Amino acid sequence: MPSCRATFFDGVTATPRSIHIVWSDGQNALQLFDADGRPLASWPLNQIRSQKDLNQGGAVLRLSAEEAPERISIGTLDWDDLARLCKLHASNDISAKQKRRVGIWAVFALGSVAAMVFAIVPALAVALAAFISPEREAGIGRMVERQVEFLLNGSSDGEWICRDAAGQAAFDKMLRALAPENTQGYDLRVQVVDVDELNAFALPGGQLTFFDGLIQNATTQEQIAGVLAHEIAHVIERHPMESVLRAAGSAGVISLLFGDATGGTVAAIVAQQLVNASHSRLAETQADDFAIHAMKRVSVNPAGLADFFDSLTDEYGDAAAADGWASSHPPTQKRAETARSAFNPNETYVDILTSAEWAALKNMCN
Amino acid sequence: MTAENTSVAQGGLAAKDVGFATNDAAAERPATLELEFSGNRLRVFWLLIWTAVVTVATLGIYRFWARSRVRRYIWSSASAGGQGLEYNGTGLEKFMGFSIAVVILAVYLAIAQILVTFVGFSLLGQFDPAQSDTSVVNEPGVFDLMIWGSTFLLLLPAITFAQYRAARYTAARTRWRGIRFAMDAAAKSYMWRASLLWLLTILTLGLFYPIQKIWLEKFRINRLSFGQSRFEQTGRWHLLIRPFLPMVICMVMFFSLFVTAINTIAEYFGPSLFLEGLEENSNQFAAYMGLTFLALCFLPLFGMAHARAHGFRRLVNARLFNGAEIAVCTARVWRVFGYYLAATMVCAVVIVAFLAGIAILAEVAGFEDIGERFFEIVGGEGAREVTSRWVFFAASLLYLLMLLLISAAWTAFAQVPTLAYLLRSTKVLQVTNLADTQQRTGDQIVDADGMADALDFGGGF
Repeated sequence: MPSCRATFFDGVTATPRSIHIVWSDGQNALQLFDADGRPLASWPLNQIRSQKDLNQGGAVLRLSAEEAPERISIGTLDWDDLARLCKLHASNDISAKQKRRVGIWAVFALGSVAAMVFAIVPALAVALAAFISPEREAGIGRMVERQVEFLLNGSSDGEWICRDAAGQAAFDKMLRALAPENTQGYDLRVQVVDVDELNAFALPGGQLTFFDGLIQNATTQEQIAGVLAHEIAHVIERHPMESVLRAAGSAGVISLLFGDATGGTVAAIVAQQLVNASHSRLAETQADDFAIHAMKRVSVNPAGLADFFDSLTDEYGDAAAADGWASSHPPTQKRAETARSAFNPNETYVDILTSAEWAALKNMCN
Repeated sequence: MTAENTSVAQGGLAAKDVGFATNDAAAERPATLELEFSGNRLRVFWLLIWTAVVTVATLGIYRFWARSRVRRYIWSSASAGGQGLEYNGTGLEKFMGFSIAVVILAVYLAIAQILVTFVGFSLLGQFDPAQSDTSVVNEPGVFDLMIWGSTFLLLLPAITFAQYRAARYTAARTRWRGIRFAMDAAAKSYMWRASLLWLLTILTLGLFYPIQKIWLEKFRINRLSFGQSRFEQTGRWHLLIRPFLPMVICMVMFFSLFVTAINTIAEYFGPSLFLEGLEENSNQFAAYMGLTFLALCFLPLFGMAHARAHGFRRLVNARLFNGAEIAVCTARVWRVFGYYLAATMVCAVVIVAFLAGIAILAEVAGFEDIGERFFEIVGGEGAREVTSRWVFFAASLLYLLMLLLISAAWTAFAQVPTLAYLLRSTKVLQVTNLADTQQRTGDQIVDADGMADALDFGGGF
């Protein structure tokens, strides 16, 4: 029968005791004897547990019962032989009740995060955004504008704005035509900046900003009108404020779930993008609907918006469709189809700007 | 098997320990107990890397099991009188504790952050448009910093509360010779103290830290027990001033030298400072900044090593067990400094390898300007172009790998050898007291260190 010396800790005092342990293939238990050879205890082999990932040569054994206090410390070679017998992984120490508790808490945790991110935070964002007056929003908008200018242009002195009186007058005329009667207190303004990108954005408080690249790319003034109406909708629907508040409220909660500096951060950013994107897609669709409606109201051809979307696809490919769930915008081609379906062949459409005004707008940044 | 291995194999009962380890009262008891740390830094490194990879692959869920594994290895590597420490915290209980913490924190954090942002925006919008152009609050970045700062302040009580709970959980899951460690339930009073002291530390730009450290150390150690015997931390408020003094001097020297060097380099590239240098020659400028940092990093590293080794020595030498001095530590600064330097070099190699990887990636993708183009893509700018998406993905993976390697390298090559050295240079005096210590009843800590985990400082070991 194999046997060896070991150290026994009774779990009552810190005093080590020198013992002998004896085991055999035939028996189901490990026999413990004290230094004088008196039997000390008998440990059933299938209840003996050891830990993985230990560094010390050998092993520390305990019984499977939770909080079992006794420990046996034995050497590597002896343990190799004994471990075979113990069939360490024969039984699972985690009770069904324990598993259920863990499961219930995990569901609670996910539910609480989901409720915050998808229901409570968006509702709070909408409610709180309404408390920020258009004047205050405009102040925030100015700050954001400086940041955007700094990022794209390397300075924030307003030098990037194209200041051409005729072009500006034309753009203002288009804005007045498309803006609704009730602007919800927002002072809508439009400007063109000298950046060669196919984009436009609405700042909190009503400052609409177009990149010159978009103006140059447009072949008809309806395309600009479509984008302008779309951006007006963002302002009036308070989308910028709501999205900032919503992002602020959900960022921390999402990073709670993934935690930790390395792997988790990436997962958290991805999840954050997905959540923001889903809200943002909804807002974009709302703004598209508003734009189509506004264009129809003043008899401007809504297919102009569709043409703009086509040129977006030509320039960048349908990135929004490729990203699907991760995209902040709905698929560009789908948006184009929606706008195009609003085109009515029996209606006579008009231009907002005269051809001279349209030319002035085109030349604003020259 | 060598003689030394046999000694370990016998659970500390071989030659040098027998006299002490048995119950034989007549046997001569040695006056001191040797502390050992036998952990292998490469094994720690691979364990960290491997568990981190699994953690990433499981979207972070494995991290609870990962930490339990790393702790088991580190704990079992530390031994006193030949008997290793036992860590018996489990991944499952950590996972459950984390879930419990998330339920509470999700509500608190979401509402706190949205309110902070709302209040911030309300205040911001109040500036008169004419004045707001000159207001410092309107400067890019300042506002974000304010929001970040207020969120941190709102979270500070939660963080300090969680810190104590986590320390208590770790103590409760640690055994030596079958006897549990424990900390008293005092998370709330720790929370108030620690939050206030942290505020003071932040307000004094860190100068208050040594005083905060000894006070909080006293708070924790005075509530720590092994079995039924208690530890006590003595030492006046200025105990850690000396250990931290070189750190202050080193940091001041580091920053002034760094700024001088960067200014000189910037002048070489162009008349104006950082911005133009970055705009015109971003890659070279970044490389010079990196090299300058590397050349000067010995300064903060020495400060850190001094604080660690000297601070540890002073704290241990002022620690009591059952009312008597427990240990004598003779740790020197230079060894620790050496470990820190070596680990920093490993991290530098990792960063250079990462940059080389990015350069290769940019070459393959056909980008003209590596730096600018890459950061445009990572910044989401170029993500609109479908073709560059795989580059974005590959670059993110490289970046992730770099972070992972750096964090593992620092733990395995700086922290672990330092711990080993500090333990080896410490001798435990309270041998009789230790041997006679009686067990105490276990603490039920249902939430484990879940809160600390959720708040993002549960990492490492």
